Amino acid sequence: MAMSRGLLIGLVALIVILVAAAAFFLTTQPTEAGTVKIGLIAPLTGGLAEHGLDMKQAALLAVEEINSKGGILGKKIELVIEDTACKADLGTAAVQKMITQDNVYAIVGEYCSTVTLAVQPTIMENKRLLLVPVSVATKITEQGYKYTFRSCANQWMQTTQHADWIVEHLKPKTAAMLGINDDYGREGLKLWGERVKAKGVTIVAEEYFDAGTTDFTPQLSKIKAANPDVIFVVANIRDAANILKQAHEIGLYKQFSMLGGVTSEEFLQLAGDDAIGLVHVSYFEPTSKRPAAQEFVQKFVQKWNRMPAMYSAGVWDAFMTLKYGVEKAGTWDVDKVAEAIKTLRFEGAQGTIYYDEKGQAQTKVLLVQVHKVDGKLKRVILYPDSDKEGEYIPPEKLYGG
Amino acid sequence: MLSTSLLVEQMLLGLMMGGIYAAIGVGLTMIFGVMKLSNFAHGEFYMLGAFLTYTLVSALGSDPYVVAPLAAVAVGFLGIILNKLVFLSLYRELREAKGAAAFFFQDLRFIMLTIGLSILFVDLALVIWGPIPIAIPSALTSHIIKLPGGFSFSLARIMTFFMALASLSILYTFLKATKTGKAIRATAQNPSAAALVGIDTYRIYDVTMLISTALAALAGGILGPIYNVYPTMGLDVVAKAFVVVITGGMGNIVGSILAGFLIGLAEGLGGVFLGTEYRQVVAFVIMILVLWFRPQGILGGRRS
Repeated sequence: MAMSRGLLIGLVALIVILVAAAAFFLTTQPTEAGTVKIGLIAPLTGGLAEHGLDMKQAALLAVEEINSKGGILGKKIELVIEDTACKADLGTAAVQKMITQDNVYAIVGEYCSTVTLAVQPTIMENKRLLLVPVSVATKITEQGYKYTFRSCANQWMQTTQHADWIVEHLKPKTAAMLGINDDYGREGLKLWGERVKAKGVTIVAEEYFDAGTTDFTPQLSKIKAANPDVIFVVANIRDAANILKQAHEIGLYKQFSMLGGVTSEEFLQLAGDDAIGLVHVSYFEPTSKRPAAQEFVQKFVQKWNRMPAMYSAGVWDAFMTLKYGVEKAGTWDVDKVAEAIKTLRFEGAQGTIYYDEKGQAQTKVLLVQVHKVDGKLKRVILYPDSDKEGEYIPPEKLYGG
Repeated sequence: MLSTSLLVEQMLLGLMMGGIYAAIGVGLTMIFGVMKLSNFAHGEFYMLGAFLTYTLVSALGSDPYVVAPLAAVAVGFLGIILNKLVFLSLYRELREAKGAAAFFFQDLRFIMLTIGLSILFVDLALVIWGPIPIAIPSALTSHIIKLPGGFSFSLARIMTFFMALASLSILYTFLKATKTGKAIRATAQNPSAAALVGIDTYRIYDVTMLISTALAALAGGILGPIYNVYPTMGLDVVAKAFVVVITGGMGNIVGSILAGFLIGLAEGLGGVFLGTEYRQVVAFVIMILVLWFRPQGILGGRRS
């Protein structure tokens, strides 16, 4: 190129100055009077982006809903969204930016427990509220942080109630376990395994797979050889759908059971008829007849033209926790709001929400089985009895011998 | 505790997986052998092949195993366009600066370029197709073939294996028997000598790029119905593809095919004997062992 060196340097310098000026102007733009900023951190890119979308859509809906009704204590909410890609370092950077530049009042997030645990100390030191809508690691609410509130059931609540129901209703003698090779999978398998072992069930196989695995046949083939009565799986929806498809492909037709991570329409679409018979935990069913749940589902479908996943319900309830907490405290003082949240009791998307001393919501855990009703896949609630919609069907009845 | 049927099943599954590793690895090793380019965006061509197959399936209502080759050719032409737009000026600049040495020189700028392309393609896919995983519908996935001894596999998996084998055989014959194939091999062996005898090496680069990206895209298209399709699927395979390439000998096509099968088989058996949590490690252990005792790779040092 026949451009002189001086011109080139001048051009680059000009661009740098313009960008810097623009950045300065944009970031130092004062918060509009009468608004409060709330941050959302979620994996919007990377392998878990589909769940980040569930969270983002619910957050946008919740903020729109709150603002349309006059905001909180007369102040409008302004949402600040940052991507973490489920990486602790990106999460930490996002949280630091939210605190120092945006001066957010509270942060809602994250999906991955590893990220939540990484950003938690920073948020707590800066005296901001952390509302955890998805991460299930039990430890998050066990560390004595007084500004942390989790609006979904934790791993311990899910796995123990799940294990108890399986032992009581399926009466298995042997079980196999398959989990993702990270803290979520490891903790899930450990808690579930200990619980069923204490009730006399023998674990005949314990297998793991790494994130990003697409072929599960080696693990499933080993499980098939061990011939268990029931197979417990901890996986995200994409992996879970592949696991069921590939199990049936190699002729493994046993009772599969999973945690709450698979509660979504996308999972049923991905797994198709291979999902029939699966028993899993759910903490939110869009078919629920409760008015608060119906209101949320209706608004979500209207805005986004798709059914909300369980994660969306968790995010919605996190925003409602904040709204009701501040309103009950009658002030934005973070200590008073944290105290007020502990005394809340409200109807959320997931059911009646109230928090214990540690900030863990005492939400109801549901157990569902996927049935085919009138040619369509449907989650039928088996437990608890108050919500029960149908009876458990064993795999022998579904698939024959 | 170990039953023979478990071992046989693991070996069959490992071999089928190996066919896929080979198909993805061969494209990567070819580009390295001919163009001295470590293509970190190779997995994204695999991903684009899968998404394009999905788009064609929904537009034409056809079966993925019919339209996957079409998608592969389309991605192959995208490879040529990229080569002309992105890589060519850098090759010319290198050749001017370094003369014949440029042919053997792996430049850092190429590596950074391909990493950048990889990120760009993942984000583009995120914008175009969205983050929610997609299952490509095919009649073959639900068609389960039952074999004696309690084994069963879907027709889709068997079809995928044979399509991978077929594409590898066609490529091998093409390189051995045709004039262009010989020119590609000549360029890989000694580019400056190839240029001296009148081979248009820049055109050979185009052809190499076409074959390499089309092979990756074909693998994506035929695996799409078995697994799911999502923007980051390429990132999940690229590391394994590099292990295959390094184990087989950088740039050696037959070496990559052998390494693909070896690693597929070793992963299956490693899962049985060591536990499935160490399955990912097996491939890397093999690579390290090979590098230790035979740093040039299984068939490295000899060009096929």
